[in-house]
Amino acid sequence: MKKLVLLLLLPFIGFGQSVSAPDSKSFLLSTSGQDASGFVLNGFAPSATILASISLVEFPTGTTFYLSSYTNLTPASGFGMVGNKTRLVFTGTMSSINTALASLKVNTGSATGNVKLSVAATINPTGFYYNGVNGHFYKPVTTGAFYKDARAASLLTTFKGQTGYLVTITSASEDAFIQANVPQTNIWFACTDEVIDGRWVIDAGPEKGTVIKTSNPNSGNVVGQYNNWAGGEPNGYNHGEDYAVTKWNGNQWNDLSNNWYNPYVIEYGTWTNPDDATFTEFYTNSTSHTAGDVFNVKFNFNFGILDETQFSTKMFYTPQGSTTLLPVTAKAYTPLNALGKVDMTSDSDSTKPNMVLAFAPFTSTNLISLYDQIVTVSDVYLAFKELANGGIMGNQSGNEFTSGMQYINADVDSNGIFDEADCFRLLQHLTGDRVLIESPTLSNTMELIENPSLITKTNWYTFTNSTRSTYPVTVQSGVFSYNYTLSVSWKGDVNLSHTANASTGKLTALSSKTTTSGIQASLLTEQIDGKVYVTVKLDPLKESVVGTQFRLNYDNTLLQFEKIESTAKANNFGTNRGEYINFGSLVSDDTVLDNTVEYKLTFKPIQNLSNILGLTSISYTDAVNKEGVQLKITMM
Amino acid sequence: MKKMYFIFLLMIVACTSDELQIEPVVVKDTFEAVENTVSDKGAITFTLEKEGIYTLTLLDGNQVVSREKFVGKQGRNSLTLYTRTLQTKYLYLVLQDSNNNQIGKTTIIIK
Repeated sequence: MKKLVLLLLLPFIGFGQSVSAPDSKSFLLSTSGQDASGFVLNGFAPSATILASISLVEFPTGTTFYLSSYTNLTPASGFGMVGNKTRLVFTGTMSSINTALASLKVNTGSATGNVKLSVAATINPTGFYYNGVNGHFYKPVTTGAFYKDARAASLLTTFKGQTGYLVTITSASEDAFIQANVPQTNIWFACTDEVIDGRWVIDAGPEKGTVIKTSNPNSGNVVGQYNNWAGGEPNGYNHGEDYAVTKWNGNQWNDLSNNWYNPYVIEYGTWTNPDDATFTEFYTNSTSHTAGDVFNVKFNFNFGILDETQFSTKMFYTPQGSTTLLPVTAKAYTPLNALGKVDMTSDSDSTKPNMVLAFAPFTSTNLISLYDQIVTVSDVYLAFKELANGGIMGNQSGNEFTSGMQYINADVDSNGIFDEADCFRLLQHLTGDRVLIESPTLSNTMELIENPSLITKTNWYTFTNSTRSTYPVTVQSGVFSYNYTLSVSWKGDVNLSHTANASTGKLTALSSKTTTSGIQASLLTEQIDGKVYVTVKLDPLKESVVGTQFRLNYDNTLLQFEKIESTAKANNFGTNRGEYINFGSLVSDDTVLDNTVEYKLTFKPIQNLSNILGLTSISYTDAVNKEGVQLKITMM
Repeated sequence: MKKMYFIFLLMIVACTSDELQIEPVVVKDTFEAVENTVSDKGAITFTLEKEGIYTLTLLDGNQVVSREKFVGKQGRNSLTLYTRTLQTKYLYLVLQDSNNNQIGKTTIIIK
């Protein structure tokens, strides 16, 4: 009887659709037609039409793939089945797709590197179009709407777990894709100059707010942004045309008023790399092969004011029986790219023992400046709150910290115990009485960790001092591909605002107390009787604010800092760092900072100044409430 | 004597007409342009209908980064914009009167 029930239920039970991937291998350089088979679709209904894609997600120059068999497959819009590809999207049944995948071949060039192949599959949805270039789905709405209604209606839709938005057009291929798949003309897309006439910004989606054009009509295209305006457009006719359409007068853009009732397209997907797609019921798998031997490292971090390219890395090794670190090659340090990635292939040597990756030496001036933004008033308050909840002298049972990483970062004296000494050291850093790290070098401030999720509240002290600004790497015989993903954490970053999560493979901050609300502060600068005064007034709105911090830059070639005064009944601080003043307050009793709090900074002009606009500017703020939640300050 | 003055005047005009001829300077109003590219110590020019207290504010999106209170004069005003401390390339510049009424708004691109 049980078997019968199971048999009856089978048609209603999902078969567990999936895409399986082959093991990694190493391709020969400069060789065509190398076997890359092994991807297989499983569990789809035999008669279902499946949308599938094959992509080279990462690949060295000269790498392509092709299918030597593609019977009964239909290429998606913009694709053809014949020839060498870096991406191919098509539809067909599971059986015909698997036959084609078994014929997958890779061609390599002379460059070494990762060859990451990805295959994705989903039941082909009716009324939606898949763009294989960015991995987004598009739904044309041919019945039309006014622009503002189309923009609002798009946000109310979802597809495969993704919220929709009025389509954005950021490349010629995306423009062509939309024009090819919507039969009507004058298609609304998310681009407007409704805020400033002639300043065209992307109006929806992940690129919302990006300026693409700064003036009407024939100039002002922002370099690096895609524009496709028809001649003489956008003309902002009568200052009433604030919204953009594509496929106007052929295949170009025009600006129209909201009163036009035009077709539009809803876009789903926020990623730029199709391999990052998170659609539900969308199955994907990938394999990283190599062309030649490769050694890649990805550093996940959030350096704040400094971009990743200002850091670099190099390989060192320790000879057997020695304790001295020696460079593996004579090469200089290799800079990280803007995503924190670096290819160390030509810097490594598998014959060298005990190799480590080392971050570049970094100037102490830069590090101190960096640290004023990494370790801020919200970190210091959270450390004190944890100490108060958990007791002192190493009792790690407080209620504020949620991860072991926070203890590692809060243990600023690196003795394996988080206690009151660490908290006061953090406070002294904030007030400028003492530097947080006596010797401000990367090896004393940062820590490279491969998997932060392994660090818990009970074992965190076993991870300290093991891998500071160097990270050990192991090279094995017969292994061609090394891909390290390391998280960079910072000493003193108690709220994890600048410590990224390596385990997700994304540049996602680990922040434990997210900013959920905000407060306000006003700024005014005036010149009175030969002095320049900067006044900052706090407005906590409904928040119980217990800490504030501001960074006021000043032009030290024209101004000399004299003093700072505050009306706050708290621990007030103000440190002159030469080019900026770091100031604020931290409450140490039951009171809060209210709207009477005011900071007044006095500067003396070095020469006569007729006016002072821009001589001082606020570049960074931080605040924290009684619960230890970091608050955003809006400067009014 | 009058003849002598007239002769002197004629000589001055005759001898210096080329050197003294000044091209009319066209000063562009900052707030009439959609955007202005400005380098350090560049000029911000605008015309005010009356003398009074005004503020110029630099905004990065909705965040005020710098604001100056100054005494504006009736007619054309020219102020200096210092850019060394500014960390954003695109900023809004807003001119307000003492009642916080917005008189002008434009985009500043820091060169």
